[in-house]
Amino acid sequence: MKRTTWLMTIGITALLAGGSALHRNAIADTPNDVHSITLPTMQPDLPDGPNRDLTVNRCTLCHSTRLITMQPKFSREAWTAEVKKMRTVFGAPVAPEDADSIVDYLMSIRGK
Amino acid sequence: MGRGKRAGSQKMNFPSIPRRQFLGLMSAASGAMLLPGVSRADVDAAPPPTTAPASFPLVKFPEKSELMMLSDRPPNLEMPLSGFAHDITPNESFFVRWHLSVIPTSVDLKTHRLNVSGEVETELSLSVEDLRTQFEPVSVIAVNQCSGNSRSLYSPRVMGGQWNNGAIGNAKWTGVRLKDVLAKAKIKAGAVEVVYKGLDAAPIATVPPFEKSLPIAKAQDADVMIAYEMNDQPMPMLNGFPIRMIVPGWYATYWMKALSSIRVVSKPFTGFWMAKAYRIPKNPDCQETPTNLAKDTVPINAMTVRSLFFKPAPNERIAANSTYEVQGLAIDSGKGIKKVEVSDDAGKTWTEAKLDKELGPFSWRRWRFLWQPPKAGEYALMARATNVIGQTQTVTQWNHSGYARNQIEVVRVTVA
Repeated sequence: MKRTTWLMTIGITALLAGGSALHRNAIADTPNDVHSITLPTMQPDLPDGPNRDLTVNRCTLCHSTRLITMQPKFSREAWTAEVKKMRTVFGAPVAPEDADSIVDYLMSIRGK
Repeated sequence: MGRGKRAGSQKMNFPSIPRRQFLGLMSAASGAMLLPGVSRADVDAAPPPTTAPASFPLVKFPEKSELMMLSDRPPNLEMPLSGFAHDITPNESFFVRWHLSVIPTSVDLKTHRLNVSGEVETELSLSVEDLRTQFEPVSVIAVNQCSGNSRSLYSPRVMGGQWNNGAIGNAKWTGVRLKDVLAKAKIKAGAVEVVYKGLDAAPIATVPPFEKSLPIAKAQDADVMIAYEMNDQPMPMLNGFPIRMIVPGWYATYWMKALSSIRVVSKPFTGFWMAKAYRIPKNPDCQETPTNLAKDTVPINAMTVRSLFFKPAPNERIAANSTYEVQGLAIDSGKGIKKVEVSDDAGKTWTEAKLDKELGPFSWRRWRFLWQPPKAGEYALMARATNVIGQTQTVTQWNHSGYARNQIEVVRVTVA
């Protein structure tokens, strides 16, 4: 979905949901007491480059690419430690031989 | 106001200036700004400016106003600087921080339960209605601040959510005392901690569930609450609907959103988010260095004393020969703010600011300082808070997780 499309989606959702006062009424008036929201969906924002698709594929299983792009520049050592943490602590499904490729990509966009 | 730029271009009404030309204007201006009054040496002697190093788009999420979007999945949304105008942060402006990406988007009040189990005589399964009707309601105004608030201001930079100062808000929380719920369940002798979690989950089973624990003594503290209202309204889904843990004076990591279970345990909890994550160096200002990381660490707990600037904004231009009301908010762990001092000469001299009325021990406290810049030039304004037990702020601070920031804030402005 293009950025403008999801912005419109959020806008329409917001219009339907109304402000906080309406929100309260929505809770009280819903017969089954169900309160729901619809989260926006956004496309990966990683720039092109070698191993970009591998990185998107493995990392976005758990989180969006914005957790990467919000970071400042870090050393190869820091990125290597981060990818290792994702693999060993959180169980990211990254084969050992893919870890270096992902670090290479991270270095290409946020390396120093 | 704030550093966020809007997503898309539909609201950009500024005249278009080619980037190269704009930068040229900026550097020419900054050269001209170096006027007598405050010397370059004075300005450089101050700690680095706290100007935001990154900018994030302003995006509107459900039940929220436009907030700076650090990430979309899970949602991590920061309150822009303009939010500090409010003594009580509006619900829609309140920052959002989730760890795991499967977050509750639909909650049925008829079926949602808070389950209390473990070392108790009577297991409980409470609906929100049960909480509203079976316990004494209590309210508190309390600051909720992310452990990593202001992480992006650490130098050298550290990995993590790159917050500026806006992962913080102040709200009136209404609900029931945790100790009253525990009393109803009747804790057994030998209980040492309560372990609790909410409705969020990770997409894969290998990720440790986001569970936190409190020592039993802290859990029995009369201030610790389970809230079902935020500023007299149900809380936004992204802020923890329908109930969340409130631990006044402690960092937000303990304020579990969409609270669903409490387990009383007889052995200290060793889950990832207590034993490995959210740990700070065991010294008063949470200090370590990149080459000498603290060996002794403890779970992060009570908030450090700090003051945040609301006005002026970083790099604001202030008219010469005017009186400017500098304004900010001071917080601590609930001991109470004793004073806030302001310096306009890189910390050589300090003058006490005027404190607004206290809204409660756990609320932030607004301060104001009528500043008459001595003359035109560049200034590094600093603000330093001290609480009633004498805790104050550090001149420099660093730890590798970017937690518990309490370095004296510096805002550079130009008087012209």
